[in-house]
Amino acid sequence: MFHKALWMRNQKLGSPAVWGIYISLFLFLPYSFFGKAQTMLTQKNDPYADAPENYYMNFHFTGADIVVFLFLIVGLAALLVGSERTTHATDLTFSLPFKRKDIFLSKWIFGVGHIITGLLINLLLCMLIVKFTILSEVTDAAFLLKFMMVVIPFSIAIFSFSLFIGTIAGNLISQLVLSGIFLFFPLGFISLIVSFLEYHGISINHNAPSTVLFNDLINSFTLPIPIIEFRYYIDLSDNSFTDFSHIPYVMLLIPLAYTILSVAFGTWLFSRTKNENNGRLLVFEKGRGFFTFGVVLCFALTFGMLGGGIFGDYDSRSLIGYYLSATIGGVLAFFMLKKLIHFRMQFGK
Amino acid sequence: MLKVNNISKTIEDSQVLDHVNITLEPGTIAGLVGRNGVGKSTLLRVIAGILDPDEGEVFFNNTDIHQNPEIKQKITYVPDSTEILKSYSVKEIVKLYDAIYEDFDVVYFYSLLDRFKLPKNKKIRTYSKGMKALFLMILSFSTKSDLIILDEPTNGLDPIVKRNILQFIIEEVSERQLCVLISTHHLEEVEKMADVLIMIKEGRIESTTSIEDAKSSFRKVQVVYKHSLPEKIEQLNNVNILNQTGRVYTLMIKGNIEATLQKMNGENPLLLEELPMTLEDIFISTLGGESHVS
Repeated sequence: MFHKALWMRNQKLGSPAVWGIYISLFLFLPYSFFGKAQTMLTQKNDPYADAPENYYMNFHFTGADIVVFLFLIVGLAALLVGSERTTHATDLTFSLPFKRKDIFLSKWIFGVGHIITGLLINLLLCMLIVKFTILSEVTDAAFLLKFMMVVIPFSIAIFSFSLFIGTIAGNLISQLVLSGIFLFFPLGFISLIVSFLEYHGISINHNAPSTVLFNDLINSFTLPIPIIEFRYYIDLSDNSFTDFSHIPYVMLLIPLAYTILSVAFGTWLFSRTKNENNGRLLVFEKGRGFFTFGVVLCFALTFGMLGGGIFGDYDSRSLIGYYLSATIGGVLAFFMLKKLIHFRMQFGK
Repeated sequence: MLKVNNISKTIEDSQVLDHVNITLEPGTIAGLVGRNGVGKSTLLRVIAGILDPDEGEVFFNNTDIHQNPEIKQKITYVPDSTEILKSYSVKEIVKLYDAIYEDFDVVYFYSLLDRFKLPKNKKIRTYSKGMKALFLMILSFSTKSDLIILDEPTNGLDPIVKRNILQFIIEEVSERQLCVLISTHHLEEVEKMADVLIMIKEGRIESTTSIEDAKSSFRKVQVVYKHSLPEKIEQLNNVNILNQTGRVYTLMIKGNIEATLQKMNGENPLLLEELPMTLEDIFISTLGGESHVS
């Protein structure tokens, strides 16, 4: 599974994204933390005349600060699998004396290794900055440990899932697009279903406890959400308060399940990959019918949701408008996909 | 050494390979020829383990290469695309290949770079197309593989380098008893170096023979009759018209040569003479087509 040559090959393929991961994490974590500390120090030494006592005593951090990192881990997965399919480099990789399973797992280990290393180093630096700068007067570093508990498993799950999408997608662009769509699929699809039900007179009580729990669950299934929605805010000034929001730890089972299933199915599919379809939208011919059905359905629901309001207002929704828009969306999606599914994107012959 | 056993492959509902069987022994240079789109590259990619066959197996030293890809320590594949390693420098590639292939010979590799005057301290992307093709071939031979698969290896090489590299391949095969399988459109190359000629037509192996046998089973003749070509001759299954200019016909006879020549003589030709024959004549005659393939 771990072979030096495969690591070197992955290093070559993924190096732009790997550099991006380390640089973005450094900029948005320790560098940003240090900047906040310096600003706080400046404000302490040079207080505002009208509020000299409490100007600096607040600090905030949100997982959305590292959203660039999330894009980059999807990009890393696309470089490791999709770029090879797009540039004929699979011809080299697959002709080497390695099992396909080992090639896939080496990509996974490579990505996960860099993700964990990047996060650990930079979060550790953040903790040191919190401990040894003026930030220690406002907060302690414990919230970073909690962030670590969320960001590491969910990042690994996002990477694993994107790598799995690479075993289905036939080129770099389709891998990126499909990863983006399917990473937000649980939340997106539920929104479409809710909209469908509401147009058909079935109302959803958004404040009911069961709905809230269901929302939490759907948010956790939508892998980027728990990272983006992680929020820590502390204010020790006059109206002192702390706002700390993150998902319950039991939800960490979800990224674990995503990771296990993505690696298992990814390895299985990569071992059976149809390299003759490299460059196309999808690698396998067998799933094309189901895929087309899914895309047409989602486009129809989306167009229905967006266009339904044209023929009515919020209180009296127009079902005719919904179905008309849905039909337009479905037909558009069908013909677009018919073109795209046979299009081959390959360079470097 | 290499046994391709009943390989079939369908791509996009079209049967590209149809029960292909090939056996190659050590010390052989085999030329795989056929028209565009008949499945040559697909066959080589199946043999290299890049594509999975729908049916059949590929054995190397009695080991199925798809089930046990580790056996490919002794097989290298040089694709027709020269772009696959373009982001590497020479040193990086040496490191990579040294890590992949247990028997990769670094000293030999650099000696070949010197021999073919390729720059050592450059990125591959700065090489010309011909230099890239040559580089990939050098890399491949430096792995000390027993089977080397070359897909259109001499595309883009200038005539002098081409001659040198063909000479080099012959040397390697005779010294190390390795096996080289070459797909090419340049029939004169196959004629010069190959021991075995594999002709592929519409996904099937049309014939696998030695170059000598192939040549001895064909005869190219020029014939002129008083009027047009007699119907008796035209209708013979083993006679192909390669060319016609007025009453002058260039014919290719496949098999049953002496009897056919006798029939031709029996129709009182004004002229009947044998012409020197190239592999290209056999190619056109066997694999069909009025146009040259290139």
